[in-house]
Amino acid sequence: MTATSLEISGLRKSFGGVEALRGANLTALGGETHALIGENGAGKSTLVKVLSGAVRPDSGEISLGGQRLAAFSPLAAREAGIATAFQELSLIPDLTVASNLLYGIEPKVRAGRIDRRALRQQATTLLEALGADGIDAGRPVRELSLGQRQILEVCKALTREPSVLILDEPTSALLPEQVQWLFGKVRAFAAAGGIALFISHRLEEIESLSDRVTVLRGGVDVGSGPIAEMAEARLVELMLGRPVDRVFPESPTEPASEEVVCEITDLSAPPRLRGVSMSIRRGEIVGVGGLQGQGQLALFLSLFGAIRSSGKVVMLGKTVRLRHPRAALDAGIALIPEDRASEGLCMTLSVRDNISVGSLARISDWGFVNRAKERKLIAFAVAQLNVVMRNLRQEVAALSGGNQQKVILGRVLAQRPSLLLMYDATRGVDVGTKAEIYRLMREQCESGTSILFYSTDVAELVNMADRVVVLHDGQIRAHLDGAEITESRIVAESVGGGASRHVS
Amino acid sequence: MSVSPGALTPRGLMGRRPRLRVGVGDLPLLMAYVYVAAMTLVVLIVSPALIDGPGAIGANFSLVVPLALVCFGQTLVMLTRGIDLSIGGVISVGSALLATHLNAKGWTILPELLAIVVLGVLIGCVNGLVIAYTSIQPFIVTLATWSIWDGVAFGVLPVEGGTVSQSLINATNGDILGIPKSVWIVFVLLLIWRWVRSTRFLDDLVAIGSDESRARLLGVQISKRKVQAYAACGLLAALASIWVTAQTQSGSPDGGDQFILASVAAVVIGGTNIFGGKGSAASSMMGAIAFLLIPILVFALNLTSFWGIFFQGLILIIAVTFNSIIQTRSQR
Amino acid sequence: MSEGLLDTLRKHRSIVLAFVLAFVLFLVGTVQASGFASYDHIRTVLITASFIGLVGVGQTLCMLTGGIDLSIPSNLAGAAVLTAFLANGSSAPLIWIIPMVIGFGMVIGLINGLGVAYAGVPPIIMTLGMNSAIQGLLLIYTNGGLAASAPSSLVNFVNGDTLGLSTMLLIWVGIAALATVLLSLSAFGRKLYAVGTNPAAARLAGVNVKRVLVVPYVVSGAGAAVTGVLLLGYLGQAFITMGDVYLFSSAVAVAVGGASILGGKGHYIGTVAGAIILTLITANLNLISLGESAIDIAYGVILLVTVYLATLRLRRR
Repeated sequence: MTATSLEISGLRKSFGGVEALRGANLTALGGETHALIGENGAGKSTLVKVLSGAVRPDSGEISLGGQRLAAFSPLAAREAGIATAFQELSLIPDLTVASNLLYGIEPKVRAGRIDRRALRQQATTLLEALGADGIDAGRPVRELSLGQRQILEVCKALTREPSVLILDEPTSALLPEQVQWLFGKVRAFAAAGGIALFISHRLEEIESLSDRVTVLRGGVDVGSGPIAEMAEARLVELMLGRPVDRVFPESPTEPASEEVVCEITDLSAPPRLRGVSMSIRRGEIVGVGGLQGQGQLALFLSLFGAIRSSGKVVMLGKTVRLRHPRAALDAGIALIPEDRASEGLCMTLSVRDNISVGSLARISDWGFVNRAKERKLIAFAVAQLNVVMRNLRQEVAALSGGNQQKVILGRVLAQRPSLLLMYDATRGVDVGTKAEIYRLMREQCESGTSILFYSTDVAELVNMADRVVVLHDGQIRAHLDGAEITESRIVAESVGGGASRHVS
Repeated sequence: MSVSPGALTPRGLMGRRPRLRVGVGDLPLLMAYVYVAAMTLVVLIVSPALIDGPGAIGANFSLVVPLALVCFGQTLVMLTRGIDLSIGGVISVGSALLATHLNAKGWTILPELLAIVVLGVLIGCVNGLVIAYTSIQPFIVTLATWSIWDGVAFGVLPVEGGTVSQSLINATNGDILGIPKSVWIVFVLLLIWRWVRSTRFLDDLVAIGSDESRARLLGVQISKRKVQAYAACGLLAALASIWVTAQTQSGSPDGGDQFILASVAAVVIGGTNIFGGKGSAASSMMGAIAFLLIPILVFALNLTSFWGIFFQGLILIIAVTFNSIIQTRSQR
Repeated sequence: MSEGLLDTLRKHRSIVLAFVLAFVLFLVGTVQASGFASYDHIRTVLITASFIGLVGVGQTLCMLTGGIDLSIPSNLAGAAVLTAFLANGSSAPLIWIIPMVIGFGMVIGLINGLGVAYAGVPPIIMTLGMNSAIQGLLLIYTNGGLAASAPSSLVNFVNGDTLGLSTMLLIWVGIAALATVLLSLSAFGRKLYAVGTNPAAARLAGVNVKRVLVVPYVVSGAGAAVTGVLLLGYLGQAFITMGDVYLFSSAVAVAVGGASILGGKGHYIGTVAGAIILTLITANLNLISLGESAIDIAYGVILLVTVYLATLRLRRR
């Protein structure tokens, strides 16, 4: 469907004291593919949620073709012709592909019943027409891989024949052929007169696909223009608010020691992790790369004892049975988890409680908490991190994202790990805090801690890691060392090109 | 250009091998049939008259009806990861009202019966609204409303008894076309379930129970569906109270309490996933029959009736432990 | 760590409010009836409240971890009935019988806890089933549940005084102190709050969530058994339905005391206030001749209102 224009002005939205959007503006015209870029935490996903009606803004206006959008609800968005492919995917695992694909527009028979057979046939036809015929319309979504789900999510949006198509990070688990398929669909959509709003943090994709770009930083738009006129350096500068090279600390002057701190042999946790072997030396930073969904999470959770795994892990010369996070912590392995709010912090507890809960054994005598020991532990943690808060008794929920991440770091560092596992630790964190975290990582390494970290941001891998392993399909596909660590090489290995080398 | 996401590599991009049509996750739904078959077999061997004898079917199904009604509603609610304890209060208050205020004869009982049903729907609506619009857990909300309506029932009818209209008693007894009315009712309930199963209402309930935050993104009207589920549960409980009062021919101010355990047990034995996402009212009704076979089995084995209460509690514990272990959700 | 008294009061304001409410209810009672403020009456109110308070210990722990124990009624009645039968029917001294009975209560609680913590069974369903199973066993054992009378030594002990104060109240104060120490000062208490707030995060921080989650139910089982034995002494007899009223009252007392039903917030001292409040409400309602009906309705309304207020407080943060 065609659309004349999309105008967003002055959008504001706060979530419990944290301002996600502070008066964001965006204008896009019909037939245009408009990219929305920004760091994690800049407000992109919130903007998408407001546009799609999933979240109501505190203030601001959205107009389509000059008409103001009166209501903010998924129904209103649908009726206005806005369809969204969400980053976290709006698919219900226990419903079939067909039910998800055609939700709300199912074929009906009399008395409001859904004709399931027609539903499945229609879904199969639609998927074939779109070119995604490898997905079985009758199976529950639970059985699809992440890449298949991402494709299904896009198909779902396209099926609605919208005038505005929003795609929030639709390619993180897709292979290049699949990405090209997606681009083809988006181009066809725009050519037919619709407005495509495309969110990604992969600048090559942006440059290849979009006509115009808007940069979001700190909840507000800081720059906008035709993609041809915006050089990559300029875009990055707008995203970060400062030139690139000041964010990452200097590379270490001394090479890492030869002492092996952690030896991993054939670590497996089917179906995602299928046999990883590697060694980590004292004081080094090893980065883990690859497309999303290739077993990285399973690797980290296995190493931390959070999921069941098989294989051998030797920490500091001793074989460890990683049956529970406690076992991992006792062996000197600590994890900074993926999702701050749901896995990292007890939101309604205080800063003090969150930091000390991981080290209770060390600060207790005969089962009772020794206040003096606790104070020392916390002072140590807080001093290292410069957490911004009112006082230690403040609820962690009231802190900003960056400071919350620091509280988690504080807890983890207090556990005195020899191996620190960081899973996407800088996601949703502002630039200032990111720089502090990078600095902290270097400091830890200099004092002998080893770090294994996963990041979707390839620049982080390039700038911080001494070595990089790229995972594909649950195994290590490539092992890059020193000068081999470049963005193009990492990306190439992630998608399958380049010679593979296995770690011996 | 056709991209077959599933065909790019032999197993797709981290795609899973196609599953069997029936996997271990479907086991709970089948167990109810196994339980019923096993128990019926034992009873038939030991004391066939209990099931086969004259009037036995009618008498047994008369007990099935109210439980089938409430476990239907409880299934809808539990699909959304909720629970409704207030059905105890609805049945109690319905029974109390029917035994004290229902003095009419013939067709004039209908408006009064309708009033009971409307009351049940309203109670359910209030439950649903509170659950949908506050973050209070369903078991707390319905625990509270159970207490409130049990209290009202006590106020209306402090002791068991009262008088029940003869017309009502007549209406629920007897046969239609040679088949007991109770059997017809269960049959109709199964037909209704077949219809409900293919509605978007049910898909929405499954969506809410499966992944509520994604359901919101998908556009499911979560609050509306929750209210509808609890309202339906209240409605069915009200119908159950009418039947129970007519069959026992007396009112009871706390007669509803036993149905709480029974309905939850029926749903659990029936195999509905108590963590949301999958379920069937038909299986729950089979679970209800399994649950009601226990006292019959106990009687057939010549044990004191108290063993029935023990076994009913025990089977709930075993069934729910079994189901919880199988149905514990894994990473999505 | 020098926090002023005012700071501490503000942090636990829901508990403070609960005590204020209790006091207000007390004043209302004195207005209605002259004997309300007499020493005897206050003593009676507090002793009545102590039974709710004692089952409230376990219920508080369960609700702090987002669960609930619905098996308290049968557990309590079972302990009372078993004690009475064993004391009357055999020559075994109470000193053996009572610990054994409490042991049974703990076993019941342990089964509940194992189901909830290790099998992942929703607490409400697990304890609901357990309640019925225990009730069945009790009926089988007593063959119908006729009342049994209490051994006189127990009656005298419970109803008497120790060191000049009511023995029951002393027991309650002692247990309250233990519970407070456990929750506020011990490492286990910290783990409990963490598990109640966010089990996934607690696990990743190294807490053995499953082991922690079993404890509230074991405590609740023990507490229900202890209360059953004491109630046997207080009433002088045991009967099958003697525990029924404690189902609602324990849960409502915990809620009124400010324990957020979403788990993680609250304290046993709040439950103490809650128990007193509920007893005073019952006393006041009795004064205006409103019986069981009004009490049930009142409990339900109070539960809803207090939990709603707790969620409002959470959302404002």
